Amino acid sequence: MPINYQQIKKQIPHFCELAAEHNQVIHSTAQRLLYTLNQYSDQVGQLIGLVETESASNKSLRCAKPTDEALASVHGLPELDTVATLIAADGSQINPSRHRQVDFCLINVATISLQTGMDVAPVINTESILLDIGELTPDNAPLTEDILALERDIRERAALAHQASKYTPPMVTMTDGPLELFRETSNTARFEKKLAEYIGILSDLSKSRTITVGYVDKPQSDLVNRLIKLIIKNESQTPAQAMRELERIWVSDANLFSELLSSPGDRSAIYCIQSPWSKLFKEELALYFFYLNVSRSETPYLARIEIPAWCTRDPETLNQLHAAIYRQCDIMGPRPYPYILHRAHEIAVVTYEETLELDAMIAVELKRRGIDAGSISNKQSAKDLPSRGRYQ
Amino acid sequence: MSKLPIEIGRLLRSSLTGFVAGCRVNQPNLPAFGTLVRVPIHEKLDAFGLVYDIHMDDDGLVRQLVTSQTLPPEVIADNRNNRNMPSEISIVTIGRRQDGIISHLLPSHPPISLDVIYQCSNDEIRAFTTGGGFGYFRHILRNQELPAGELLTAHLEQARVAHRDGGDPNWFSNAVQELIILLRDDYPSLMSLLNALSDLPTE
Repeated sequence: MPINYQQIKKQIPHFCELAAEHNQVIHSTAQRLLYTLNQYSDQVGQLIGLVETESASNKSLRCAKPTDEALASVHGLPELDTVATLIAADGSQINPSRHRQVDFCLINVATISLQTGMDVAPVINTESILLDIGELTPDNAPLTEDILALERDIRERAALAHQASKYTPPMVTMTDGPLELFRETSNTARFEKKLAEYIGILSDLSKSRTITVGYVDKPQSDLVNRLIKLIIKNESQTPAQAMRELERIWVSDANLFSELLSSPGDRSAIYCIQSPWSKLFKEELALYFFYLNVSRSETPYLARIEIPAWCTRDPETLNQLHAAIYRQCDIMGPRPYPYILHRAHEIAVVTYEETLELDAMIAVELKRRGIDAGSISNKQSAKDLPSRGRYQ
Repeated sequence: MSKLPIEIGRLLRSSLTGFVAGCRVNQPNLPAFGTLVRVPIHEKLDAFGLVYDIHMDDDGLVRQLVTSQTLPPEVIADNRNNRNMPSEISIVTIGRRQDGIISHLLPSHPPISLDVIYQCSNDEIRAFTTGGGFGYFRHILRNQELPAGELLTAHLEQARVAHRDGGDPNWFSNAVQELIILLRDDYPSLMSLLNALSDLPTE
């Protein structure tokens, strides 16, 4: 038996008891934060100044920075009357593994381009890149999964730019996840180089007026709450002990905005991302976000939408992407998520069986050339044994 | 034969008594229920069969999409053209052509995966339904899985047109007479067939 269920069964009541208490704390804290959000909703100029002052002394500050929209403002679903091209990209990779017969890496990037409102099947493209053997040990060290994921993200964006060049605006391009690159490798020179490449692609998309969106499903970030905590901290009457208590409790932005964005299609105000990396995304490419209620029922379901600055400047562009994203989510019925992103994922995903197939293909070619193809590790071999237990 | 044969799909799986073909859900030449089809097994052997079922599979995404209030045309086109969902056409084997001779015996070998399946032309329908009399009816009547009355009616309707165009207007009534004789001891099946035949337009 893989899990000692008898032992776990005894722990579950205690777990749920604590969860109930925790939820109560989260709820009351969220109410406190929401109160402050409403209280300061119109004081955006003052709050922009506050964030700028704080960031000057705190280089690692990460929070939301207000724009000219009131903090607690709610923007209803606009009409979508323009036929637009939607393009989504998603990537999948085979990570390096010394346990396989042949150690190799693959990046698979799929794009899907569709014309909304047209009775035409979307155009699908897949690009599969087998990394050269030399790329498996960059900088004299084995390639990490993190670097490979970074490479995949950049290739996704490059594939979007390539497909976008075939169409004319209005165009909305989408990837799953934030636009801001965030990796453990962030302090390496390699990351800096790749980041520059990434920003170059975003810049090209911006020049061609291709709307670029990062879609974050079920967001857990607390950027706006960090801003509110900064406001409360700055209030002279806040006792230090109360502030410490507030700082200790993590509340996601979704806790607040699911109360504000009560109607299907509502979006929040737009915020700018203030982070140590945000200085690299300059001017037109500065990163902004808003929350969107993509639910079609009375129970809100939020997504965070990240966009570059230029997309926020023109109300029509903003409305277009707002409506296009909601319509895409609506297609998926009761579990809203952009249809086009799901399709990109469906096309891109590399299955375990495909990995085994590739492993065998490369091994055969190596052997044909008289090269030792190696063998799977003993550990993997043991794992692959037929089992009467949990691996069935 | 003056026209090129119409390719309707490729074989997914087979046995001696029947086979299943896969084709795209939106292809224009999707065969109709009761269509006579032919699959070349090798250069001297063809199997003949009748389409008795057309099956469209679903998957998780399609099940979710049907609950959507509005489905844009591009999404429908995507699912019909791009997604890997073949419609499956089930065919009952009813005869063969070996060394150029048509008979209503089963072929010696089943067709092989990915073999191409063709819709029979009127010439082929006439040749098959007269070569060997009406012996092929037994393959349909003995198979309890088949909707025999409906299938025979659909087949007879198509074959009637082919024979009428070929100058044999009596083929249809001869075929019905043969079926009445074959089913004389099976009243429920006979009534089912006659009921279905009565729905055919009169000529």
